[in-house]
Amino acid sequence: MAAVEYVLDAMAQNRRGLVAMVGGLTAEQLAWRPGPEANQIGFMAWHLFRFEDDFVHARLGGGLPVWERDGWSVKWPQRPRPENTSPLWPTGNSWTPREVSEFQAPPLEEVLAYGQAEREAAVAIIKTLDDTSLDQPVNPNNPQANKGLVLRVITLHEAEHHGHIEMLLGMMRAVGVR
Amino acid sequence: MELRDFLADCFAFTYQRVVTSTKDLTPTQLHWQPALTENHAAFLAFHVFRVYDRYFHRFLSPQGELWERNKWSMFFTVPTTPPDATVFWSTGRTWTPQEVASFRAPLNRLLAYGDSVYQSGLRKLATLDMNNLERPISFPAEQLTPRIVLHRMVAHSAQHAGQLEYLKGLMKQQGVA
Repeated sequence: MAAVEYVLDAMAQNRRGLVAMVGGLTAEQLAWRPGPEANQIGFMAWHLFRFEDDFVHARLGGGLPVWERDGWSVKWPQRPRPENTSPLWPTGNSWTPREVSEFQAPPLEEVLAYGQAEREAAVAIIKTLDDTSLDQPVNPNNPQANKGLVLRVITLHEAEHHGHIEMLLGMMRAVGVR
Repeated sequence: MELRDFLADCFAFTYQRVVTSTKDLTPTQLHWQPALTENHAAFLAFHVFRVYDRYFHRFLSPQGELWERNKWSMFFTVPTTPPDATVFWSTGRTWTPQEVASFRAPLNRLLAYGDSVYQSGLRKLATLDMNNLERPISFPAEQLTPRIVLHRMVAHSAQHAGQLEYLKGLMKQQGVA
């Protein structure tokens, strides 16, 4: 089995699990936080899709992220990226607790539609890779960073946030958030 | 990069995240639960390592789980096996909140068990036939193949590594020392 084939399979399974977990949540559940510095599920779902979209297009090529290509950035305008932050900041990466608390999630069905669109684009790009190409560097300043690393990040990042969301769902059940 | 190298990289990354999230915890932090129904860090790390052990040493090779072969259970306070326990129970799967709450692990033993399982698992991975990942694995409770097992191990450990980091963040916010 090729590594790329495995990654595509893992991505599909991860995404099915994510949609099943968040698909039926209420607005209150999507916005609930166990503490003032904790991330809410609505933010995490949006962040997962935004991260994959920007990261795959930036690191593996393929033109504009779906966020910009399909006009989502106009529909859901964001504040400008603060100085001295990562290029991935617009995806919700490394946001402060205050930034997370001020985040207004778009309606869930629109977030999921964006997620589906960005995923289709990401899969199309990843399908152009083969196992040999995974050793190619993606950052001239860091020879350790290759396309294989990008695929590892994509695979594990979504699974890690599954863990967060699962834990939040358990805590909400315990305190009766509906 | 072949699949074997990709998987080894995934395992290394998630294993290190689990270790990094637990290695400096105090006994109180190790067993702190954000809600009575939620898992504590000691249980989460134990569960990740037990699942590695079962999958690497029972499903992907016939040598048997290190937990049993090396009698690791003597170092941990493990709840009594319920009479209706399934084969999954000994990995921590399907434990009740009460069973999770009663589980106690000394940090040094927990990390030693994890290291033992991880190092041995990598050796198994190095010899696994990557061209034969669709063969059925003999396990009556579930239909498994090496491909399914490998995917589950990676996703499962990453999910729980994520929970450990979230838990650590909650402890910091709530001043659990």
